[in-house]
Amino acid sequence: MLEKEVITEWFNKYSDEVYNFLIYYTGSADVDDIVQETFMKALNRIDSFKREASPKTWLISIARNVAIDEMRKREKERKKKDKAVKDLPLKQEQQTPETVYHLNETKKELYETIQTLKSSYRDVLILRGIKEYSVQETAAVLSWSESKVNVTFHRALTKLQKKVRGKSI
Amino acid sequence: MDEQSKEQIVLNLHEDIQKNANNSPKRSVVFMKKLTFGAVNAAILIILTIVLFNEVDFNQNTTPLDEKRSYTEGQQASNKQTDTDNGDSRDYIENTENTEGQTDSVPEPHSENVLEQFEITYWEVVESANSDGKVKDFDSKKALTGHFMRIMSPELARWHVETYFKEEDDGLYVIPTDSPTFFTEEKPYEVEKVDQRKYKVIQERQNEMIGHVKMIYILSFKEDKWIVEAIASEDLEEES
Repeated sequence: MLEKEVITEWFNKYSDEVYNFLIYYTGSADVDDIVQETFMKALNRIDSFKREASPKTWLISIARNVAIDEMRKREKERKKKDKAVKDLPLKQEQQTPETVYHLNETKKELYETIQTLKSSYRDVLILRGIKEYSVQETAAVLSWSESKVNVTFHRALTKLQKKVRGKSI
Repeated sequence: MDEQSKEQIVLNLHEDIQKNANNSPKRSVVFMKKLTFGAVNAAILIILTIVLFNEVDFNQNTTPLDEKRSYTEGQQASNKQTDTDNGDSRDYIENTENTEGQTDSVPEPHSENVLEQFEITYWEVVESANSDGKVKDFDSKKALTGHFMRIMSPELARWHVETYFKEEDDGLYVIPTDSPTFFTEEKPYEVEKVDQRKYKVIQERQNEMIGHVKMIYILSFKEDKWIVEAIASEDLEEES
């Protein structure tokens, strides 16, 4: 069956890319479920995939949306609980991008600062800055114009610089 | 991601495909029902249209109403398009195009869009430069000034070109310096109407590069569109 072949091929080719993106995007290494959900959604929408588009950017845009939904769900659940998260016993040490990718202190600080920025700045910094996607790829993932990617990236870098400088004073 | 997790996900995907394949006869029945329902609705609509059209045709006073309606429809179509655009900078052009038969009325500017387009126009050129700073699409100050004049007055365009670019024998280069202080929607601002064809956008800014200033972006309506006419700044350092 064609769908089976296509989705298997895409999974073999792009699952690592999706996985790495999700780790940076969610700030957690616990993203296996989101990876699966991403490819499930891609499978269900495979008819709507435009052949001239890139499967990679299409999958990353789906992954981003799934991650946003998941983060909202987790936030809701956390708020519902009476105790603070820190009081809950952890099953295992929580892995973060810093520990997964063995980021040095500078990169760790940079990454933590990026996480404090507003979502549009964070998105473009992760895609353009960390994942080094081209302007075209970033525009495709975020459904922005290329001009908006350029402008927002510059504004995000300026904001990031100010925050990092502010921390180092 | 470890190999075990990957294998499990692939298995789950294949299971899902199998499930969908088993359900597909049901899906085709639902699809046929939807198709039939849609066809019936379309037929009713066509019949109604024919009936209404015949009724209108008998009425002798339809011509003035038709003219009014087409203007209103044009207005509605334009409004719909503006509503569905996601804050796209085309908004500021939409309003100017909808002035058919009303040459004296000047639409209000979408200040944020105009100023965003101004910023985008500048950054597009700077971003196009290679690692040596050589600009890609323009090889002279004159050419770049012409390009900037799409969103700036001639004087402002010339000022930006002179300040931020230099012309060499082999082309145009970006001067490595701080960028202009662009408007930001993140800070509060005021819009002041000077007259029908001129507005001021005023915003207080403060950073180590420019100090504490009041930025004044002057927008003017020229050749059926809003452009950035001039930019001024007032020092607020002494006042603070």
